[in-house]
Amino acid sequence: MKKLLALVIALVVVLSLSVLPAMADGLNVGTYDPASAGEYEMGFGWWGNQVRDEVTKAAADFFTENYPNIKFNLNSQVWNNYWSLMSTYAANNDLPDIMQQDYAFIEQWAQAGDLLDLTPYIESGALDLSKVPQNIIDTGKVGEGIYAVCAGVNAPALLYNKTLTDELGIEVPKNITWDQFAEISRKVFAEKGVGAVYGEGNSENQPTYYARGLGYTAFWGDEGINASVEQMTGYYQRIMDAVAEGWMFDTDKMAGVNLTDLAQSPLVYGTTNDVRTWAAFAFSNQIAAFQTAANADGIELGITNWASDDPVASNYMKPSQFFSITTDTKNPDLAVAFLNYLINDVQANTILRAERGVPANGDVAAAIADEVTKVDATYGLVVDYLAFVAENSSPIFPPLPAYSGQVNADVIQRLTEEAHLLNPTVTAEECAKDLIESTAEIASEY
Amino acid sequence: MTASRAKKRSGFSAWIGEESTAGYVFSLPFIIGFLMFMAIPMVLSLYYSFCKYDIQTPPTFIGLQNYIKIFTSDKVFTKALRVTCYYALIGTPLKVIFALMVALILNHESRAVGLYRAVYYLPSIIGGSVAVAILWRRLFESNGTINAIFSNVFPSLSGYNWFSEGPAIWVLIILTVWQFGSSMLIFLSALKQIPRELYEASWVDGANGFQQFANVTIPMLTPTIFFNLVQQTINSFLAFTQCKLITNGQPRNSTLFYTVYQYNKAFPAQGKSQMGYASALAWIMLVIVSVVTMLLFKSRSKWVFDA
Repeated sequence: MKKLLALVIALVVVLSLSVLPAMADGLNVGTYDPASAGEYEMGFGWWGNQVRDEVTKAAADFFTENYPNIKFNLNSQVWNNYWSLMSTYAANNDLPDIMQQDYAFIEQWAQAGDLLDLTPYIESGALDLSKVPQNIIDTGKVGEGIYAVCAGVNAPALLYNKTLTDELGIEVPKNITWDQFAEISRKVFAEKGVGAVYGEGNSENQPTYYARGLGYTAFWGDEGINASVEQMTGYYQRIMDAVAEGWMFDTDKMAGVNLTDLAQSPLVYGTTNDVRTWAAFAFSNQIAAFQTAANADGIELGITNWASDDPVASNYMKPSQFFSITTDTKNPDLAVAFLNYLINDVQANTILRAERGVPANGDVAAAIADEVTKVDATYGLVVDYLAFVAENSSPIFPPLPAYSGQVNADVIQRLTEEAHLLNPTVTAEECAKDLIESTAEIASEY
Repeated sequence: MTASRAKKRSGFSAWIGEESTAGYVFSLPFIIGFLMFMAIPMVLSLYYSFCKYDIQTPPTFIGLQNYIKIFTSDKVFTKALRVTCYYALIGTPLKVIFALMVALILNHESRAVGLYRAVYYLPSIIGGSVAVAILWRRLFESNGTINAIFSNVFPSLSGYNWFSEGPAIWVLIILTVWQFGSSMLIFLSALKQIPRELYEASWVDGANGFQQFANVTIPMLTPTIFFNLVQQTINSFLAFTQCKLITNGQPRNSTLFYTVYQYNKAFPAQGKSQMGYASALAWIMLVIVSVVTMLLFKSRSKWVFDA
């Protein structure tokens, strides 16, 4: 078994390396020499998908190959399980040395004292962020400290079944509006019976994007949601109308498909049209994993923005995720060296093939473009899309308040299910009122 | 002999030689396990149930607030409780009846019976596992095996959505009924213990097969039925894996088991843990299960025939 595993690992590494330019001299690990760390097992946790798991493991193995004294304890979860697991580790002061973080959550985690302030390492040069744009570095800032480094840049992206839309002669526009999206969905549903799902039910993503379209950069305030009942009524009304027209999945239908595991997303999984969707509300970096899953059906995916009445106001560039070093690490210098490798090493990033988003280090992003495009045909699409979004977006919202997670779980999930009912028992206005009142209540108690 | 000889020694070796010492040493693994995984956590959770506690920061005492909130304003609590009761009160009798039926069928002398018993017992060993839960989800998917079979018989049912509100809980009930094996084995051994002469005597008196079943088999089995009912009811109230993995409470919490709700409060996917609240939920469940079990025991004298 171990031999087989070693062989597979070796194969993955060789495959990844075969596309590399000539081996550069050593790895880019900053000023600390990992060889001096002695035997060490480094914990590394992330949420992700099949592709991310494979490339991250390969990047860690490549590090071990260069520094045989460093082994890894890799911990990969799906998004929903990741946070509850990490909270448990945090309670036991047993977090992995390096953990993937999310823009929405770094503030809570940094304030809870679980993340290491990287400022001294950046000042000493141990962590080299000179090639990362300042506004991207700032996204990892909490108070005066820098607690997280951007692992890649992405943007909300509507991934769609291009094979299907081409077949129906539909062109999916850039800066797509909600009316255009609904029009296409109606047509696809009428001709093929393929529907649509409006994002995950337990996430603030869709309401936030909607509210940004109305001009609210910061959807969440300290005491609740900034938008008014009238405005959020529009959000729920749009869902109810779409469900009534038939093309949007209703609550029962959503329960019948898997919306949390990317590989089973109805965009890419399911043998009959009535359990399939023509588009998924995802993020640009996820297209690689979606495309891998879609290959089984010979589907080619396209990419555009999430539908909004005002796409330029709604859309934003986002650090897709961060790497943070936790305060539970026993060798911060070593963890910083590894982080440096993940951010600045060209070979590492070729192996990681920008699956976490386009690298924040501009030099690295340029250096890996050709090689990554060879293994991942979607990379070009993503780079083009991000270039477009850079010109057609507004600044990102501030990190979410700590209470927002509970609002997602207890309020947004419930209201999404109510609004998606085939025969709704509440009106859109009641949903909006409930959303705003329940959120204010949770915010005050938190 | 050894004990008396040991008594003549002194100090440590005398103490170590005592039978009571050996007794304590042998029961130590259990005592440690019981203290660490049962007694101490239970006491702690009772304390936490009166606290606001998010695991990461120390608990703060808030008195009865968790309980007040649960009983006055928590609609999900009511829903989860209703779903769990529905599941336990419908699933358990079905399961016991099913187990009895299969036991009666298998209670014959034949060469293949051993094989059948093993085969029918299998689901209850593996039924609670993660793999079966995932398999179950696949079976009932809109293009899964169950629909493939059904649509041959009833074409109008093709693509039926088992996970919609209403049928979804039945997907879980069918799974628990399918795990009838351990109850069935207990029934089988009880059937063997019914004295033959009772059947012979009733036969002489002119009873037919059904009368024998109704007036001999069933009364003689009532203690076993009672045991199975109690055990399976408690199991049903505590079921977790099936719900968590197959439906995760969806749609609209119509399949949300109480234990899963509790878990979601203690280990939420997003936001911080509400361990205090979850502990309060756990203690309420303990009381409910105790009351249900007590009612079952109270009813015992009414219908259980003790020979």
